[in-house]
Amino acid sequence: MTSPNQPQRLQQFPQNAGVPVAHPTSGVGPMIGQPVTPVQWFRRMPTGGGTVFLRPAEVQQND
Amino acid sequence: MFAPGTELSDSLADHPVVRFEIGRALAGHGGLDLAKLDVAAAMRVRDAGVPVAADPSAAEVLEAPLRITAPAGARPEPLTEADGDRFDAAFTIVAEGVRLLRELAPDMAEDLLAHVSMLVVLKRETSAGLVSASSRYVPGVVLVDEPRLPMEIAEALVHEGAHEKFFDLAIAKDFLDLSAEDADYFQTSWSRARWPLEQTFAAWHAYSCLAQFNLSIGAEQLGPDSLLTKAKKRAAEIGEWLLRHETDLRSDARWLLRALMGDPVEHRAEAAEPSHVDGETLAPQFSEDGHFHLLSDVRHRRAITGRVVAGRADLPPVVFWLDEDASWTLGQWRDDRTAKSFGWMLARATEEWKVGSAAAAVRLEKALVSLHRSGLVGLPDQAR
Repeated sequence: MTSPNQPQRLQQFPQNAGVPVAHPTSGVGPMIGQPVTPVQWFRRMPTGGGTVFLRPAEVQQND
Repeated sequence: MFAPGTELSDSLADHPVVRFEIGRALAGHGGLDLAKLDVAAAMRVRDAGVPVAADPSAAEVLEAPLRITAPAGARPEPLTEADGDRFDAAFTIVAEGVRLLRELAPDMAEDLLAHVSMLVVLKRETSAGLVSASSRYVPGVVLVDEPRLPMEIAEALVHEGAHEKFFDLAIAKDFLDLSAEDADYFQTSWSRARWPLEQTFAAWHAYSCLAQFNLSIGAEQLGPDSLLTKAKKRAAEIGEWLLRHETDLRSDARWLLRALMGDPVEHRAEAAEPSHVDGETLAPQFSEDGHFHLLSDVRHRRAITGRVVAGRADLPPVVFWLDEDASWTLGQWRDDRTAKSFGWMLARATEEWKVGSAAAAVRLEKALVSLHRSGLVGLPDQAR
């Protein structure tokens, strides 16, 4: 049962789903069920690196 | 990051500017300037439930995210303590907005705010129509226009927090690769804007979160630029397009897409490899006397919180997050780099993990297989 303030999720999860796991303080950490997780933050971003929400008058850049 | 004498606390390592500088250095755009990291760490923030940039030096320290997200021809400026009562008034609205988000949608707030490590309020006369913004190159920082209502902040944190979570997922999971740049563009029905695949996926994720948040808000007054009432329809439009283009997405992105779109997908099980310890099947190379070695260019560090990062000194460098078992396994080489036998590690694992030998063997094998596939640990017959 999903209450309104919970993100919608289906029931097919990777292994260990449902086990309470503390968030890292911030940022990312290892993924559950995957002992070694490659970090890929160097890929070029076609938008130039930004996701920008502008008022409707400037909507061409909107995300 | 791994240089002798460099000690990065988790809080500093999670600082958006530090993450930006590390990203630049590891991408080969110059070395890591430790003095810059010290300056970033010294920039004062105020706690509004999330850290809010408050230091008059913020414009200088946060030059990168301000530049990357600036609307064409604009130079947004952060509101800081140097602006006196005006900053205090904005700070009060921000704190109320964070409180409101946590009250209306506590699970979503916990989920998304874990990816937001700093909020920057922009002076309205300099923001040039920017409502809110974030950047994958400077992960963790959210920029918002000077607010008039707490709900503007709550919505911006959902919107940009969703982007920040997506950036973090795209770093650590199998989401997109270089082929994403050659994929079709999505064109919105509401503005005719054309987006590349990465932006399309980011927007779909944000609209999906906003649609969910909209179910929680009751009669709260929305900001004039709110997307909440439009979010469900737009999320559906983008999501349907992504489902038709999911061959351009990597496996974890497809999984997330289908999960949030309510479309079942089978999760791939990892292939098991055969062999035997106390009745369990293990791979042939994991015999009791098989020796493993740490490859010579591998370095690893553990933070106080237990988070472990490992790097291989390739060009460009390769960096990995390790889970608890993998980091324990790599930690067996902390005192010396001599080869370790599976049996020796298994005996220690069984004792320290306080589990049976068979269970420890399965966990240890999984960690070693993953460490080997990532080029961090060599197999018994593999040259160093």
